Parts: sequence; C-alpha cells; structure tokens
Amino acid sequence: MPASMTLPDLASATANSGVRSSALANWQATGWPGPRVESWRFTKLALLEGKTFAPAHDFADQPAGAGMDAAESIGAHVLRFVNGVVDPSDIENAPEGVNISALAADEDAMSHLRQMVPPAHPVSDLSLAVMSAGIIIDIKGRVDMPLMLSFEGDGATTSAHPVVFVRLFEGSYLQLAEWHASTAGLSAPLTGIDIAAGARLEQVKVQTDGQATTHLAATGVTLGAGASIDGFSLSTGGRLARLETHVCFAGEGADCNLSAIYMGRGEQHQDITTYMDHAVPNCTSNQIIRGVLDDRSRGVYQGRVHVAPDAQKTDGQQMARALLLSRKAEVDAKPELEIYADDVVCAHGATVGELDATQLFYLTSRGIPKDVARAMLIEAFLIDTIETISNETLAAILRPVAQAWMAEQETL
Amino acid sequence: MAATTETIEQVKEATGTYKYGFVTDIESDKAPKGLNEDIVRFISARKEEPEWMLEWRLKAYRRWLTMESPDWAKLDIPPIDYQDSYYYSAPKTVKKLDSLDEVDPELLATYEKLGIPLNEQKRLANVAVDAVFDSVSVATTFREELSKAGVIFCPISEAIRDYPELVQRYMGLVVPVGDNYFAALNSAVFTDGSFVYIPKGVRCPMELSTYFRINEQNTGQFERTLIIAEDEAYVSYLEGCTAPQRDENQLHAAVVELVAMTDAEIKYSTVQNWYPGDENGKGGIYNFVTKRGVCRGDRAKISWTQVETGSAITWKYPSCVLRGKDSVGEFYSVALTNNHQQADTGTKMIHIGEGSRSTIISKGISAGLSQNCYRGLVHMQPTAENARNFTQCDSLLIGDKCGAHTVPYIVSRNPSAKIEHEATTSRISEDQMFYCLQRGIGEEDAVSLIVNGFCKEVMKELPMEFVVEAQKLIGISLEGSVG
Repeated sequence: MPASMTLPDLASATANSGVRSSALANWQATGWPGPRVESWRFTKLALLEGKTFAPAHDFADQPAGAGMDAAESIGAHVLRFVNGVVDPSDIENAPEGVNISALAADEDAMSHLRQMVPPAHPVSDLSLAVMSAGIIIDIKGRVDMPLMLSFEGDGATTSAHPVVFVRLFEGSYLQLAEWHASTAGLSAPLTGIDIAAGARLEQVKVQTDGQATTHLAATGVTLGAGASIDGFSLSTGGRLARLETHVCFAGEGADCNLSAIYMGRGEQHQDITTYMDHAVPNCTSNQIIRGVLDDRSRGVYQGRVHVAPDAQKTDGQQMARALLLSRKAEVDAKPELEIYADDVVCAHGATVGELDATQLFYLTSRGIPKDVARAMLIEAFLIDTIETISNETLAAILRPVAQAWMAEQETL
Repeated sequence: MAATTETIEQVKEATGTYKYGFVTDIESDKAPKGLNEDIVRFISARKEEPEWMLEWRLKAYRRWLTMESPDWAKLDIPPIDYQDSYYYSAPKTVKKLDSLDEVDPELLATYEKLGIPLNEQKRLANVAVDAVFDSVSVATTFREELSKAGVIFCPISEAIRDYPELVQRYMGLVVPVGDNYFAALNSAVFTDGSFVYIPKGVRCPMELSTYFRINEQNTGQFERTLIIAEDEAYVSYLEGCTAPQRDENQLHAAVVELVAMTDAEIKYSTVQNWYPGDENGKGGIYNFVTKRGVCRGDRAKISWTQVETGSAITWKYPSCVLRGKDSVGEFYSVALTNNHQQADTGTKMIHIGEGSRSTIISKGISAGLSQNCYRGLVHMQPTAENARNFTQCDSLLIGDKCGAHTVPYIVSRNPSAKIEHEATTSRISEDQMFYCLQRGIGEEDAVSLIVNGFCKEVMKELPMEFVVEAQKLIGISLEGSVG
C-alpha cells in the first residue's frame, strides 16, 4: 500500500478479537489495492490518498433524507443509518417475520459473511474491522411489507462502515430497498445476502451519494437450491462509486437477475463489478447493464461469469451497453467468461457508442427540439432495463431518480 | 552475474568443453549453455553483425534482466530456467535418411492424412530429395522474380548486413526492446527470421509463403521477422508449416513487426502446429510470441489470420496499432487445444486514427483437459473519431474436463467510436451430431466437420492453398477427443 494512502482511524477497532481482529490485521497488511491489482485496474483509489477518516460510532440524528420519502411512498419499514450507525429505535418495531439482531456478537455469522466476498477484499476487511453498525436481519416466511435500508450522513472526514447481513430462511420472501444519500467522505457498506432454498428476494439499490463521496460497496450473495434474487442497482451519486457484487450459486435450480444502470457526469467515476460463481449445475444468471456518461465522467463495467467443472446446464448471460454523451467521457468494460463445463449456454455482449445520429435526425425532423430528442433517446436506452424489474413497487422508487438525472441533463 | 559464473563453472565441470571458450568446432556450431552478455556478443559475432546491432542486443539483454515474466495470462507456466538452454545453435547437419521407410510410421500416417505430396513428405522428414526439389535452385528462381519487382526478401541477418539503414529505422519501432519480457529476450538473442521490404506501389508477385516453407525450415527458437510495405504496396505472408514438427525444443519466443504505409496492405497468416506434447502433457513447445503491426499511413490495412493447433503453451496476441486515418485492422483466429494444451491468445486493436476500423473474429475450441482463453483489448483513443470495432468470440467445448475463457478489455475514450462485442460459449449440439451420424458419417469425422463449420469464417481468410491442409489439421488435432 502506498504510504501516502492514510488509513481511517482504526483506534476503535484494535480492541476486537476473532473475525474482526483478523480482518483488521488483513487490512493493515494489504490496505487499499495498489495500481497493479487486476480487479481494480480501471478504478484507482488515488482520491483516498492522504485522507484520514474518522468512523462514526454513535447515532446522531439528522433531518430525514430522500430515502425516507421513498420509503414512505411504498409503505416500507425503514432501518435508518446515519454515517453508518443504525437508529436504535428502528430495530425494535420490525414487521412480523423480520428479526433483527447484533452481528458483532455472532462470530459464526461474521465469519460466514466474510467468506461471501473474495478473501482479502479491502472493503470487507476494513468495514468488518471498524464496523460502524453491524446487524443481522433474519427473514422467515413471506414478508409483504418492503424493508428499506436508508443510508445518510455527512462530514468530509467521516467514514461509514455499515455491515448488514440479510438471511432469508427457507421459502421466505422479502422486498428490500437500499437507499444511499450520504455526503460522508467515505461510504463503505458491506452487505451479505444469504438466500436459503426456495426463498426469493426482490431488491433495488439506489446510490445517490454526494458529489464528493467515495462509495465503495461490497455485496456477497449466496443462493440455495431453487432460490432466486431479482436485483437492480441505480448508481448516479458519489465522486467515485464502485458497486461490487459477488454471487455464489450454492444449490441447484437457483436463479439470479442482477441488472444495473450507472449514470455519470462532471468528474464522476462509476464502477459496476459483478462476479457470478456458478458452482453447481442448473442455475441461471442474467445481467443487463446500461451506462450513460457525460462531461468528463468515466464508467466501468467488469463482469465475470465463472462456471465450475460440474456446473452443467448453466445459463449465464451478460449484456452491457454504454452511451457516451461527451467528448471527454470514457468507458471501460471487461465482460469475462470463465467456463469449465461443456453443456452450458453462456454469452456476453458489450457495446459502446454515442446517440444514433439517424435516430436523432428522425426526431428533430419531426419538429422535436434537439435537447428533448436527446433526452427521449437516453430514456429509451435506459427504460427497457428498468422494465425488467419484476416488482412494480420497487421499480416505482427507482424511476424518479433516473428521471431527475435526465431532467437535470436537459437544463444543463 | 553470480548465476552466470556458476553456469560457466557447471558447464566446465560437466562437459569439460569450456576450455575451448567460444571457439566452436564446425560440426556442432553451438554456444555454451546459458545466457549472459558474452552469449549475446557471441551470437552477434557469429552473425557478423555491425556494432550498432550488438549494442541494440545488449541494451535489450540488460533490459530483460530487469523484467519479470508476465503472470497475468490464464496459463500455468512451469518455471523456465533460462540458463539451461542453448541460445545459439546453427542448423544441425542431421543425418539424411535414405528412404521414407526409415521414418517414424506415426509421422508418415499424419502426413498422409494431411495430403502432403510425397516429395514434400520426404523433405519434411529429412529424407534426401532429388534434384528437382532442390530448394536452392527453387529459391534462386523465386529470388530473381522478386528482385525484378524490387521486393527484398531475405533472412534478417542478411538484411542487417545489406540494408542496415532500413533495419535500423524499423526494427524495434513496433515492438520496442523493452516491450515485454519475451520480446526483450528475443531482441537480445534472436538468431533467425525474415526481412521483407515491398517498395512503393509494388504488389508482391507471389505469396511469400512458398519460399518460406522451403528455405526457412529450420528456424531457430528466437525468430525475428520484419515486414515493411511502402505506400500502396501489398504483400501476403504465410508463416509456419502445416505439417507437424517433431521438435522437442522447449522455448520459442518470436517477434514479428509489421509496418504498413499509406494505402499499403499486409496480410499475415500463420498456421502453427508446433509439437503440443503427448497426451499426458509431457513435452511440447512453449510458444511466447509478440506480433504487432502498425498502420502508419492513411487507409493502410493489416490483417492477421492464425490457426493455432500446436504448442503446449501459447501466449500470443497479434495486434494492430491503427494510426492512419481510415486504417483497417483485422484479426481472424482459430485456436484449438486438446489434451493438456494451454492457449491464451487474442489481439489488441489500438485505434488512434480517425475512421479506423477493426474486426476481430476468434474461434476457440477446447477438448480433452485443455484450457483455451481469448484475451483481447479494443482501445479507442480520443482521436479515434468515428472509429469502429466489431468483435465476435465464440468458444466450443468438447468434453467436460476442459475450459474455455473469454477476457475482453474494452476502453473507449471517444463518443463517436462504436464498439460491439459479443461472445458465446457452447458445445457441439446433439442434433448436429445426430444429423451427421445418421447419414453414416463416423463420429470423429462428424466432429471434424462440425468444428470446421464453426471455424469457417476464419478459414476463408487463409490463402487458398492452405485451407485444405488447415482443415485436415483440425481433424487430426481433435483425434481422440470424442468417444
């Protein structure tokens, strides 16, 4: 690790034992990924150089953010995190079927969670070590009320390290929304999602952190036999944002839809990284990724589909498309297939380009002003991805965020 | 230096030959084992090279010492002891056999399947051939015809002596000495290779393949090829031999540089069938090759076509730097691996020029216990206005013990540039097999037929005379992969 890259204040973490102390030791040994680490090839953390963050540990209330409004609009139960610290009052009145407990007290759970992302992962090690909040959310049966995790915060020198482990028990069902609207210096949420046999999770994540925030999220998902996840991320915030998801198929017949939209302008850097580990036969994974980049922004999509030697009948699909709206924008893509079984159907596609001049001409020749025509085409480019979200309630909170981004685009 | 001294000591002890120093006898013209600056000097002296060439080699060697072997490829490369090989060994005078009866019958059976004419079989198997097939006379005829057109085609060592200004200007221009570990090694110790210069407006009157096949048979481990096509020139070059070489050489690190000027076109085709090792993964060539072409002028075109069926390990990325306006780069590849073979191959298309276009078609076939990886980069620089790329990577798996991987890197820094990439992985479908089998086609022939159909887009880019051999080669390489 470059010496100039200062650590967050780790004083609070040194007293830990077990998994957390091992995570801390690991982080201190490796630190932020250096320039030659392949998985961080396109996303450099030079921004964090020379910065010292102080992780928050006590809950300090703030005026409610946009996530709370969104939660209200869909009637969700909210778990509110401010600077990564959970509001203790939200833990108590959880809806039926939802049980919330403390993660720090459960060594097995922490050890399990840590294994859901690759070993020596900087976000998982650091956030487990400093952990501003650690909770386990257990889901039993069908929970009809959506659950919202709302992350807020402020302070350029504050770092947030919320660790959330969601466990869906056999046959359970949950709608989960994650809303990030923090202006803290560093937001590093670690999330584990363990979906047991036959359970289903419908999930959306909205990332609208502040323009100066570095958002580094690590999510690990495990799918049991016949389990399914329908996940969607929309990332428009942060100075630098990386949404990294690792999915492990642990039981046959599991199904994973994981799609994402990233939108960048100004100097933003948006990174979507996914890893599909098809360890067992008969599973399907499908990813649709769309990116829109303006000004000097940069977009990254890295997606790997790994099919283990015996994982026959795997169906793995990836489709990544990016739209460059400005001369200075850049997009980097690395869709990877790593296949060790023969009876599989795997494909990926990637395209990069600008708005189609003939489509633009078609619209303007019919009297539609150019900026409106552009907005229409951008919306059309994104909309079919949002349309794939099966849960209309969750899709409803996403759409306004994308629309707001585009409305801002028109006025620029 | 310690290691070097040690090697010299070891050689001295083991063979007692070191007392002769570098003065080698004529029968086995060989430098002592190992690699150090003296070996580099020895090679340069043997080749009667000018001082600047020696300096260039030494610079490369010193650079190589500071570098590390790349480990990013999806390859399991056993550690290579660079001090444990000979870096200079003139073509050995191998005992000529009297007739084909003395040749390994397994080898003959393969030639038979490839449909190689009898005379050529004899030549390949090192059987003395009659005067009609005397390569010297044939070569002379070709050389006369080529020089009439103004084309220079000679071994690179000859070019260093006879055309120093051309070599000095272009060698290392496309692949600098410190480009990568293997390129640096090659730059220090290359012993053989070809030099091609096509003057302005000349269309090379013949495929340079034929000549190559006859005369550059015993190419060394470290070949260096340089092809320059001046404005409006055209050349088609075929490298390699379609017949299997029972070569036990371990390391093969070649460098190929292509330079295409305005409106020039270079078509470079490779059929690589080095010894892949036996079915247990023993032996075989490690093929670490750096191939790169630059389209320096507007509308220049470079086209790489490769059929890779041999080598135990292949590490090879023929690339195009598209500097000229409207320049064109193409990469057509078939990589077939069987048994314990490993291949990590692909291309880089660096778009700099406005309106530059590139096409990548890659077909990977893995069978047995092999690993086959496509690795490619498409890079659109900010200046690549309206540039275009289309990439298609298809993988075919035969059997459930092999691996097929696709690792494309896409970087776009120009909004008007369009990139399209698609990749699929599948196996031979039961329907296809059933269709063939029920028409009386045997299982192995059916697989060969289907695989050749899978590769058709690439095969059609090969010079016609080689298509048939390449198709048969695919059938042979897949032998034993079904049933």
